[in-house]
Amino acid sequence: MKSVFLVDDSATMLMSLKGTLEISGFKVDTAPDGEAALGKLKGGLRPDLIITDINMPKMDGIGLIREARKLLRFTPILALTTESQQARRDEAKKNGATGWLVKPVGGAELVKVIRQVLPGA
Amino acid sequence: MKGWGGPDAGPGTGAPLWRRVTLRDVGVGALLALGLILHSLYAEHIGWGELAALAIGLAAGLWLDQRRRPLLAGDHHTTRVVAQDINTLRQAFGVLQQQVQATIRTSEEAVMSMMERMHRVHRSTLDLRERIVEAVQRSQSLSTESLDRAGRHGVAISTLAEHQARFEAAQRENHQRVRAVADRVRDLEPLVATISGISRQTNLLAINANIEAARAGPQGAGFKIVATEVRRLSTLTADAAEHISTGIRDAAAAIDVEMAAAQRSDDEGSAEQLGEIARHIESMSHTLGDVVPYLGQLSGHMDGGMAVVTEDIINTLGDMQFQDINRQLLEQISQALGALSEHFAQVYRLIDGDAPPPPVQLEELLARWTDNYVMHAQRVAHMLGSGGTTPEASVPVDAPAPDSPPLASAHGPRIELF
Repeated sequence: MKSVFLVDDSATMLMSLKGTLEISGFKVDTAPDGEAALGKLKGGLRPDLIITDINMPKMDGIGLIREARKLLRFTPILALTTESQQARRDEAKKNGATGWLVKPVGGAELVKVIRQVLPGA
Repeated sequence: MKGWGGPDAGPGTGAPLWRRVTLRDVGVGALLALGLILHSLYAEHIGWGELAALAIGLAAGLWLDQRRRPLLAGDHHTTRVVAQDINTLRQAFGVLQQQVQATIRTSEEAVMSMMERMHRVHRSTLDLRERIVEAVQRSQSLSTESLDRAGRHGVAISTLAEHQARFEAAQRENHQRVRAVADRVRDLEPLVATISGISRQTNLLAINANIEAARAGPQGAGFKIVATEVRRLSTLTADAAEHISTGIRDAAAAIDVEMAAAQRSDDEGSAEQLGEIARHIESMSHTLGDVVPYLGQLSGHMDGGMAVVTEDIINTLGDMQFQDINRQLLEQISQALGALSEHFAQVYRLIDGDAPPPPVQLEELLARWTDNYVMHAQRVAHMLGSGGTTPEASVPVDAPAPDSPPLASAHGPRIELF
């Protein structure tokens, strides 16, 4: 069973995505902001995929992508955000993001994208 | 009222004192002076108490005047700036109105989508329930039918077993009797040999008698006739023995044939009953043969129905993302309202002369709101609300996404893998 690490400051988003992914057969771990997520990664969490929001308190998604990439070189990281600025998208890409998804993303559509970046999931 | 707004005038602190003396100040001074004059002229009528009352009344009037001073009593610069802010306020409210409408639209579309999916889930569940009920009914029918058939098979097999037992017992008895008869018939065969032996001895005796008759000459002629008759009798005896032997063999063979026929008859009776059971079993097999594809079809329907339900639930969970979008939209609106409130509180204090002007005018404040926008919908709402138009405005890029990718907004693809 593949594991997904969800990072978002919205409890609703976490609940929505967690439900979607668990129904689809994924193991899910969550964190409410970039700092907490980085703490879990430094504590040894090794997910198969990270999905992170961009605009978050404490540490934003771009910062998390940058720091997570230092720990997990090959783990795909998807940004799932309402942010529509091309500059932010480019910044995420530069820091090692694997993809950029603008909210809202349909559940089935999200699972399809995940299976694209996680072959065999 | 104190003057404000001008870089040279300052907010009520830089103007010379004489420029701030108004007709009201002159009037108040004149009243006080008149009071003092009247007191000096008519001290017995207007005492210090009356003067003090006049002074307190004037002070109270001035204080009340401070609280209800008309806005346009200030200078023209203040009026112009405040009027401009009020005019811009219309745009600000327009922007906020558009953003609220975007929030409402997002909520409505998401909720409608969720309701539609919930209805579909409900319909799928009802359909699955109907199929399950149908399957249960059919299973019950099959079960009843199978039990009935099994019962009938049981009865048939019991009957067959009884028949078989009786047939076997009778068959054994018959075989024993027939075998005994056949044995008795075969026991006659040695008698045939004895008769044959007698016949041979008789024939030999006849030959010897004939020889002796020939030797006796004419005296033996009668004896020769007897010998001849004896020989003929011997021949007849031999023929009779042969016929008896043949008859015994034929009778034994016939008994064997009859026994075989009886055996076949018994077998055919059993075969008929077994054939009946075989036909029943074949019928059951056909019934089960119908059940297997039916169960396969049912399983396929159930899988398909469950897949639809699962996908609808997943997409409904996805639709819940509207809450996060609305939260961000409303947070922005809340911040904007807070900034507006603060701005106009300062404008009000400024009108009162109790505070410097706001650091920026409302127009600039409105422009600064865009710095906090993250969603394309916010920018579109701002353009629409502030009187601008944009072709992108007709594209609800932040509305709940349709199911089929790829989706693209006016600002790049909604989903992009680098």
